[in-house]
Amino acid sequence: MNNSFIEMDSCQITKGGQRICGDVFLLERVAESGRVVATLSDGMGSGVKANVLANLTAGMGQRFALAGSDMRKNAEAILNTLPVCRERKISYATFTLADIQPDGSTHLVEYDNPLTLWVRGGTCKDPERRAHIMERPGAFREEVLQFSHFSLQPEDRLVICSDGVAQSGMGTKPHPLGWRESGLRDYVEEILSQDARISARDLAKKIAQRAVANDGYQARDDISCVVAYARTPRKLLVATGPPYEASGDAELAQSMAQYPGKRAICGGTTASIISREWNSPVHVNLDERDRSVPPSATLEGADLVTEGMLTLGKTAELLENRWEADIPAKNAAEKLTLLLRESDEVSFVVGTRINEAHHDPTLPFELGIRRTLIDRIRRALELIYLKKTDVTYV
Amino acid sequence: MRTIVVTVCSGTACYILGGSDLLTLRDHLEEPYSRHVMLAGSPCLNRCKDRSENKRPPYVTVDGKVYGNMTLETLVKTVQSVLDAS
Ligand code: FES
Repeated sequence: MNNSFIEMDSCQITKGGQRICGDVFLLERVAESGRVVATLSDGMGSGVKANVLANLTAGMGQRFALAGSDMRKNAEAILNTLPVCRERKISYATFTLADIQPDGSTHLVEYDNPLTLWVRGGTCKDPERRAHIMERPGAFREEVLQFSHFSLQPEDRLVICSDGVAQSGMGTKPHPLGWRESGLRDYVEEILSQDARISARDLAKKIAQRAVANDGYQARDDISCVVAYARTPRKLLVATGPPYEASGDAELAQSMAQYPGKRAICGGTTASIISREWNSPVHVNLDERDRSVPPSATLEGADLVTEGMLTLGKTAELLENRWEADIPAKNAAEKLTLLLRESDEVSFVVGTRINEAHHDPTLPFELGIRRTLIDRIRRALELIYLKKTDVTYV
Repeated sequence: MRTIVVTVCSGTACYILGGSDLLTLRDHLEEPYSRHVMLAGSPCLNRCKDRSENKRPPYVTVDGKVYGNMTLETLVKTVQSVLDAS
């Protein structure tokens, strides 16, 4: 598998009455390689104690996997570290660890969580698992670790859940024995038949919400769902600022036109240049009533057109503060933030012609230079949202 | 009365120096004037870079003619007088 982007996202709903979730999900994307390592751990019980145990377990899983040593030894080390509950004689926390390489090669280690679903072409299948049995002193039964190694193809997904999902609805009329893996499978296949391209984030959310609904809208255990989705990367080009040499205008317009992805233009002068070169008018959206930044505009061939400095400044702020999206977006900065967040790879093309207007000393504001703003936005996208970004100065 | 186009610049310099208010022109025009104005925006009217004229942002065009240093008040007056004269 080439060039797939592994989108991974989770949705967690805490058991009714508890303030802290006893399931912990940790995710790391290795920036240079695109490898993704994720662990979901379910601590016994609920609340703080469960959370601490799950955190400990997931943290170990992540560290060991990222250090790159033998998976089996890692898993054994985790189990040997975890205490065994004195009363119930079972382990304190379960876990599922997924280590996915950008070429799709995937290692799974599963311990006592509901089995991971591997979805291809809208149908759930099982990876070939090898069980590894461990006897631990103090535990009342043997413990089974399941290992699998397989290859994700483009459009494949993994669905990883805590037992709050698989056991949701237990004791209710429609699900006397809980929703179970079979219910989950049917539901995942049903959603995918309606929307084959659903994002990892939305699928995880749908599953978690359905599990809460099974429980009568009050979660009876911590509910976590994690989805990994291997897909063609969503690319976005952001052009801001006029090229240093006026002769670069045509080149910029052309490379934008040929870009294989979405296109955003941030800056009035840049928009005018592209509009002139593409021979396509710009219309400012005067119906945008939120005036904290200048209104966005439309230009055929571009997915979003905004003003430059103010909008980029506000966007950097929204990203850094992990703004929770209200859809529909109310202003140009929110629109740009959403567009950036739904992309996997963002290329910035930054023009370096000085805009005389901003150097007028009488302007009553301090405009950070474009470069600084783009740096802030890139940093937030990479560190908080795990996006790939690059920048070209023209 | 003719119908005229009013283009308010919503580029950075103009927006900051008062252009954001000018975009609300519609709310400040009375009948019959408001019916005869088509309001548009512009990403940059390209005046902010032109130091030759003795004008400053925010810029607006009213019926094709460029005005600088606009406030909501002067814009309303300008629009009314242009329409009155037509
Ligand atoms: S920003 Fe208004 S003319 Fe350039």
